[in-house]
Amino acid sequence: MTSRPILPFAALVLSLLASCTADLHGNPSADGPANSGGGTAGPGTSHDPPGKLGVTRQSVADACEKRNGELGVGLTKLRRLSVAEFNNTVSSLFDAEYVDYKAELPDDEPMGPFVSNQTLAVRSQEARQYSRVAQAVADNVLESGTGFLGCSLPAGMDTTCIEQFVVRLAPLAFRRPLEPDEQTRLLDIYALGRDGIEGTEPNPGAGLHLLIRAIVGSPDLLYVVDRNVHGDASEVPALADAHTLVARLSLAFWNAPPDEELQQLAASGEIHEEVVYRAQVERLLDDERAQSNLARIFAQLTGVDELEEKEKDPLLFPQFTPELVEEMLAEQSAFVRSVVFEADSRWSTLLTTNYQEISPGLAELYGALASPDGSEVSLPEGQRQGLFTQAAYLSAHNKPAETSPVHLGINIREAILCETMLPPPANIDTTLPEVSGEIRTSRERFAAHETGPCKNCHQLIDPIGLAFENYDAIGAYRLTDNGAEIDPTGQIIDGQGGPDGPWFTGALELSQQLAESQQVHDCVSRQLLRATINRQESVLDACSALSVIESFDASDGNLRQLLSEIAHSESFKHVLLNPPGNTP
Amino acid sequence: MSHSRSLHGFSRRNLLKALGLSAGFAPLLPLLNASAQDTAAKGPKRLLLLYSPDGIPAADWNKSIDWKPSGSETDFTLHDIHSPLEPFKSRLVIPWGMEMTVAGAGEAHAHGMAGCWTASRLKGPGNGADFDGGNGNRTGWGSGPSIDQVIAQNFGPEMPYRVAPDHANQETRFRTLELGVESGNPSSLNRMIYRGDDQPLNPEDDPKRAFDTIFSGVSPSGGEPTVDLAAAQRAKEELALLDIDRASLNKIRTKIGRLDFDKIDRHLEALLEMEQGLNAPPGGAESLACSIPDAGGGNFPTKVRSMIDIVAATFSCDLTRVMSLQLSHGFSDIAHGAWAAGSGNIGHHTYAHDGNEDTVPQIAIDKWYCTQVAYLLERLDAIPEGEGTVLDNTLVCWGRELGNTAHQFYDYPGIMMGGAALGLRTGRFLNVKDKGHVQWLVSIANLMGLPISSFGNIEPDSGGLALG
Repeated sequence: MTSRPILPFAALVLSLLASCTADLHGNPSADGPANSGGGTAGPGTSHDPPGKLGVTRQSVADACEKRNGELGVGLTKLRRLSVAEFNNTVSSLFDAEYVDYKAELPDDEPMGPFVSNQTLAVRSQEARQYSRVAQAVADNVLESGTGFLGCSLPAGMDTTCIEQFVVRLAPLAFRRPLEPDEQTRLLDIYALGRDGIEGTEPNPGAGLHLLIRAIVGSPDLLYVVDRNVHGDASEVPALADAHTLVARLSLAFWNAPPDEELQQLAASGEIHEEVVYRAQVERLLDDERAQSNLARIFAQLTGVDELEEKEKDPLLFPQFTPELVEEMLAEQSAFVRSVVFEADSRWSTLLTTNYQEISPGLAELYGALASPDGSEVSLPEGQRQGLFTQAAYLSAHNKPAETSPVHLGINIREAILCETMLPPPANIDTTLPEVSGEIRTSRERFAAHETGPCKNCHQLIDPIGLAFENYDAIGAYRLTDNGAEIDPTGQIIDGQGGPDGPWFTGALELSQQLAESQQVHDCVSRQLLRATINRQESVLDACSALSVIESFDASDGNLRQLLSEIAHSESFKHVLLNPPGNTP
Repeated sequence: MSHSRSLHGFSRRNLLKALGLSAGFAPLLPLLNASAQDTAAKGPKRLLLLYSPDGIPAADWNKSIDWKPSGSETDFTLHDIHSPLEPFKSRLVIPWGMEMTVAGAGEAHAHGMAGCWTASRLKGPGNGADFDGGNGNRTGWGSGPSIDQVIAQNFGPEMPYRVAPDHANQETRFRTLELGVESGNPSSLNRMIYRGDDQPLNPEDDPKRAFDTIFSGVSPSGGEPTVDLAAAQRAKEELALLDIDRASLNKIRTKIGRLDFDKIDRHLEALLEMEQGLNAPPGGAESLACSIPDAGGGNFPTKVRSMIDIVAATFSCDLTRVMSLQLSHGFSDIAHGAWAAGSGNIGHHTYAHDGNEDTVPQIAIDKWYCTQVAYLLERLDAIPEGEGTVLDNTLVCWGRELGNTAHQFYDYPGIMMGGAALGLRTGRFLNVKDKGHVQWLVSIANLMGLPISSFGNIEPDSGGLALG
């Protein structure tokens, strides 16, 4: 392959990056130049000090301004469907109830707080798993009859119904039109299964079973193959072709394959018309599937998706049952849905209000108060506000028997401030003093972090984590710890060790600051961009990221508009299959 | 039907490169292997890599338990942690004092995991791989093949396999099997077996699924092979599905960016391996003592037992000759209280160094793992083969991702078991203080018939241990 000269725009962002300022996200890029994320910036963090962000944003804005229509789009990687996408695909193909095949499928690869199966190859272990899952799907689907065919399965050698089925189903499964040779192969597979052992009666049911295995187990269903309108693998970004575009939309917003309406708009090419595209984005976001999808993304972002695997000390927290965990998860999910799709959709609302319907187990945990006639319960004043004071979040990050201000502090820093916290230096004694005598609260035990080599990082982590000390390991409110009064005051510290905001008291005031923080707004925009384009943005996506961040600001932190803006961004609508020019 | 065989996997040249040998060394490989043993009579050479999490218990940073056996080379007493292995003392080789040859991104658990069988660096994030390598430290994947894969991809009369991995007639149904119990999601802290740079292999974690995959169609010893028309039809269907998938992959390959070609080529390779498996001898009837276990489910200890039973049965049915079994994963925080007496209710890693440092429960956990290892040896030793047992033909190597739980790499608790028929003089404890554990890996390869003197990308030309 001949190497082209590096594109002026790419050269511009790359040169800006070299000066450590152009990556307005301060994050290691997935396909940009080597940046190990090992941190060169401020102490304990690989993020640029927040104070430099303004300058950084301006330089990116200038670069985007000056590029004369040249597109900036990060490299599109071949990826496999996630477990959830696979499940939704099966359920939508066969109009069947949702079945979770998680236990049978290869585990998803983590991508930050999210998942994206784009680094590992399918080996024989995984190939066997996919083959077995396809078999299980065929078994399950056929168990409840052949209604999904849309015609009746013929008894003998007639294949009319099967042909109709293949022509309708395979394009939905493969998210693109079926090619003639592919149709022939699928019908051959059907015939092989139907004919069975020589000398026996033809068995259309067996043929259909094998056909379903072939479609569900197909690499064409498994791999998300993105194409541009020219059908080439160019080193220059180009508009995504119609089928790629609708697949991106439905996978991003529904976590499921395109429905027939999207397929038709792709087939006719109308999806490339601005008005049609805009209307479809809104239609998708109005759908219930967009709500469950966003709730899933927030569960991942806040680390709550791992709550079901967490254990708590059964002696200290006998009430921490699977049922209570379910209530916790339901609260977060319903809260995110109601704020984003029913209330004002603001990020700040998500951090400063509460979900109104309190389930029985949580009412007990939260010490909710019943109204005199017992018909309503309400939360005690001043104890909870927003996502980070909910039991799901607190239980997901605290330890089995005690709280963990360090894990909470790290999670806030990483998930919504987009910083990477570095590990303690090698061979350092990380033992905290035991609770005894004068040392009773976590803050008193953590005093050891305030000196020596611990200080650089823990001054960033601890004040945030200790703000949550008014909640125990499963999120119940408390005023004392081991008999001593809890002091939940603190201040967010920046990478230079200076204050990054006024003093706060407790998680409520901290949440208020996080709701308003510019760095948090930038980070949340970026996190949703990643979850939606299914990859880490690279420097080449800088202009898209900037437009998304700016629109999030302009809308006063409106999450629904953010999703819509992402769908209209360059990075979402374009494909780049090979790295530009001389980029390695 | 077209059978595409566009393999871009493990060419001989790449192998030599990975091993740090020049192409000039190539002709030597077959020559060195000239003295073939009579596999049929003695049983094939086999390798099992075994992993359990964390290192030797440490009470505090810099104060780990010295697990050195007491006594002389051939007359020694095992440290209490290893006491469950006492009945097998004559079958062990304990090289004490090795320092792990590991390096790279992530904290110790992460690069210890990536390096324990590869002696290669763990890379920083890149190519879309970006994982928590412990305490928020980001990593990518490991950078070199693990020793079991190198051994399995090679071949020769003195090796587990006599034919090349792409040979149409494979000797066993599976070239290698990777098994695990609660090994965690695919990220750097959870993977130890690598086919090559950036190519971790996921272990099969589910005993029932492992059982179905490995033993489908296998008949226990004594069963008469019958002409089964239904089975023949099933095989025909499976091959047709593989063909249709191959056609799809070849088409996908024409549509994607060049950096993604590898993924498709590896997937094609996997389909070929599945096809070889379908064509390989079914195992069982012709083997000496093939018995098929019940596949259990249940909690961690039940699954561990089931997987050990499956390992023993897989070897006894000669379904593969190179296997790994990964129990839990780096940073493991399983609470063992319910089945390991005295190990408390707190997670393994939390006891090690997360504010609850305590060696008593850690020792109880380690001894529990050691008891499982003893059970494995018992099972392998119960299957007669040739003039001895399967254990004599199988080199079992037990490793961890750390030297001790204080994140240090010295005094690595790597232990060799069985393998007497491979020429290993067992029943010995060797003081190899400060030798790199890469030398141990080189020695493992040498015992399996692969004459290398260098391995991995951290410490070249290390040579092996003097095992005598």
